[in-house]
Order: sequence, then structure tokens, then C-alpha cells
Amino acid sequence: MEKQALLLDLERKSNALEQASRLQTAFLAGVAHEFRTPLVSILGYSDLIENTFEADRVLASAGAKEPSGANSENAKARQWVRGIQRSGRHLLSLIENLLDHGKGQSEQLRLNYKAVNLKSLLEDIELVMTPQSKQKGLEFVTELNGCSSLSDCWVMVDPDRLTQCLINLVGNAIKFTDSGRVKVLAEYHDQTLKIVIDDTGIGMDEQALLMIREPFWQAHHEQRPGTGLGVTITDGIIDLMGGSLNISSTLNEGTRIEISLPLVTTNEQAQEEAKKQDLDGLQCRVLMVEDDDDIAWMLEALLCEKGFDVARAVHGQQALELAHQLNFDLVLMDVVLPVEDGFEVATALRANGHCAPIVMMSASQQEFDSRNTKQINYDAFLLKPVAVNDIVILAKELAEPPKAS
Amino acid sequence: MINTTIQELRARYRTSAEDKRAVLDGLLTRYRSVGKSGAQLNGQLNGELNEFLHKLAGSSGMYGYDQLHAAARRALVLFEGSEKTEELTASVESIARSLELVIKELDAL
Repeated sequence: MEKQALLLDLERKSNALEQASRLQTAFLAGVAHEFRTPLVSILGYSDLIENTFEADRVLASAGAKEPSGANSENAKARQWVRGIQRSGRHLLSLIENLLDHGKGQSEQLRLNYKAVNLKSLLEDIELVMTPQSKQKGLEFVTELNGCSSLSDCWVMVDPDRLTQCLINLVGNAIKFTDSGRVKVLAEYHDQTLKIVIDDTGIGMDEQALLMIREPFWQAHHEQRPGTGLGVTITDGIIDLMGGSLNISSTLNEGTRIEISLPLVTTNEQAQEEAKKQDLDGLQCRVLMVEDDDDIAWMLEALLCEKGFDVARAVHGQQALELAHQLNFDLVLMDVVLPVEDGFEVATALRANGHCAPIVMMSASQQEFDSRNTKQINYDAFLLKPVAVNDIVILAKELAEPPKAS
Repeated sequence: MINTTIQELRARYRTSAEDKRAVLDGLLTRYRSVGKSGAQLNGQLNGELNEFLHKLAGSSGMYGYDQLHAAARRALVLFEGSEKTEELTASVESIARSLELVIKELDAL
């Protein structure tokens, strides 16, 4: 009898925990969505501004526009806009991580390997972190060893995840350093990438070194607050990449963190891959099926700025007619459409022999989850508001090269 | 230097915001006329309002009109909880005010 009662109690508690977990997931999904929306808008506008600067630069260099003193000002402003974009994209990836963490799926983080120029990666870190270090009067230095020239610096890594790790670690180094410098040294040899973050900060004792990888643990949390997740997440990501994270520290002298990552490709292979990734000259004909004018105009403007050709259909029938008349490299499909929904239109396109990759777009993850999507032929799903950069990356990954007419 | 693409997008959104205001006024009038009870809503009006709020939330967020986006999202949440009809009416009225502010802001640019 007592055993029966205990079992019932256990079941009740288990149900309550499951419900709490579902609520947590729903809450985090909601918060992440709310944060994501204005951020995507910021990134969209900053893309447009950057493209304006680029257009001016091209016109001036082609002699179609008088060079003026404003050019150097524009170059500075362009650099600032890039800073906004890089920080914005980093924030976007953090929000998406929050969603992963909320789902309790941190162990399912997926890596997306791309060819990356190490020098550019370090420049990005410098651009994002320099304002923080300047604010504290610290010297912030990045150094790259083992590469003789720019073309000799290519590696295959997950750039978003690696940037996330470096920003976490450099952010901590700046936070716990009151004078002196923070240095990031990257070395590439024997197919191993070693990145060292070295600071002249307050350092840690042995107890802190033992605890630092624990989630939510924070050193000196009263004076220097944070989430206590940075090192935990970084450690998990580096581990997932097959690398190691070594931390050594001396109290009142500083901390040294060394990331070692095995590289699966040679510099030459990564360089080859980089050529394939290059988006310049990508000619992509997009069929956008979207009934909302405002969203369609914005997406079309952003995609055209990237050099894409966009044709638009406002409902399924029109999409089928356009797909019959013209060849497309990519279909962007809204889920909520008049008459037939996006999934039905995608199925109809496939049934009519159209094989261009289809990217579904919806403002609601639930809307997507609630459908049995396994039998529907689509290639990717993007959450609205859609970041145009995600479309460009997908276009490159999914689209067939344009066929000669 | 002002980006002409952004200017064009804003001009289009200005026209579209005006249209949205007219549609919203119509929906609000019809919504009030069927009474305060959610049960009195007919299916068509329900569908139209839901679709309108859904689209408004999506596009206003994309254009960076955060207040309007938040108002539309709030109304959508209330709309899904069908018992809170009075709150929904107030929420839709706040969307109308946010739309008005967006139009004024666009006119001032």
C-alpha cells in the first residue's frame, strides 16, 4: 500500500516536472522570438546601409562619382556598420543558443563547418571586443602566427561557434582585468589550431579553477556579475569540436586559456572550400511565395541588394504558373497563404516536377511542428522575421548553379 | 547620405500603414457590433482578425516598428484566449494608436 502511494506520488511529481519543463521551453521560445524580431530588423537595415556605402565606393573607384573628403568618413561609417552587424549576428546566435539550452538540447548542438580566414576571424573579434577593452583602458592585442600571408590562413571550423567561444573567453578576460592587457594569439601548424587568451587580470585560485566549468558558477559575482554560463558553453562547444580547453591561472597575476582544435582539412582544402563558399557572383533566381506585401517588399529589396533575381507569387496557383514559365534556383515559401497553405503548394510544385529547393518560412515554430512535415518535400525552414543572410547562405548551400539558357 | 531603398520601403510602408488603419477600423467596428462576448464572433470575422494581427505582427517586426509589433503580438495572445474579449478590444485599440504613431513618424521623415 505504502509502495503504491509512493509510486503515485512519484508519478505526480514526474508529471509536474514534465509540465514545468514544457513551460520553461515555451517561455524561452517566446522570449527568444521576441528578442530575435527587432534584431533581425536591425540586421536588415544595417545590411541596406552597408550596401549603400559599398555602392558609393564602387562608383567612386570607377570614376563615376567625384572622390571627396566624405569618402574617408564613409569608410569609417562603413566599418562601424560592420561592427553593428557582427555584434548583431553574434547576439542572434546567442539567442538561438538560449533556445537550444532551454530545450535541454545543449548536447544536440550541431556544428556547421565552413572555410574561414583566420585573420578575418581575429579581426572580427577585435572589432567586437575593442570597445569594451577601451572602456577599461586596457590594451587589446591579437596576433596570428604560422601563416605567411592572408592566403595561407584558411581553416575549416564552425565560425559562429568558434566566435561565440572567443567572445565568451575574451569577454571574461576583459571583465577580470583592471589594468594591463588582454592578448589573443592564434597559431596554426601541423593541422592544429591553437588559440591562447592571455590576460594580466586578477587571476583565480585553485578552488575557482576547479569550479569554473560548472554551469552558473561565477568568480567574484558580486563585483563582476554575469550569467555563469560562458565557460560552460565554451567548454561544451570545444569538446564537441574534438578539441580541448586548458585553463591556468595565478591569483593577482592573470589567466591563460588555451584552445586546441584538431583541423580536419589542410590549408589548401580549406582555401578550395572558401572559393566555393564565395557568394560574389552568385546568380540566384528566387521564386518568393508570400501574400504579405510589406514582408515581400522588404525581402525583395534585401535580396536584390545581394544580387538575386526575385519573382513573386501571392498564392499557390500563381506560384505554379510562374514555376511553369520560368526556371528558379530557390523557392521561398510562406506557410500561411490564402486558399492553399505553403505545405500544399510545395507538394503541388513537387508533383508538377519542379525540383528547385524549397525553403519554408513561418513566424511560428509551433505551426511548423504541428504539421506532419516528413512527407512534404521541402529543404529548409526559416523562422520569421527571416534574416536575409540566412537566405543567402541557404541559397548557396541548396541552389543549383544557373543553367545556361 | 540616405539610402534610396530604405526611403522607398518607408514610403511603401506609409501607404500600407494607411490601408491597415482603414482595415483595422472596419474590423474593430464589426467586432464591437457583435457584442463583447467572444462566442458572438462569427467565424469569418474571427479569421479576418486573426490573419490581420498575424500579418501585422510579422511585418511591423521586420520593419523595426517594435511598439506596433508588441501591440499586435499582445492582441494575438489575447485572441487565442477567447474569454478575454474586452481586453482584446482594448488591445486592438492600442494597435490603432501604435499605427497612428508609425504613420506620424513616417510623415516626419
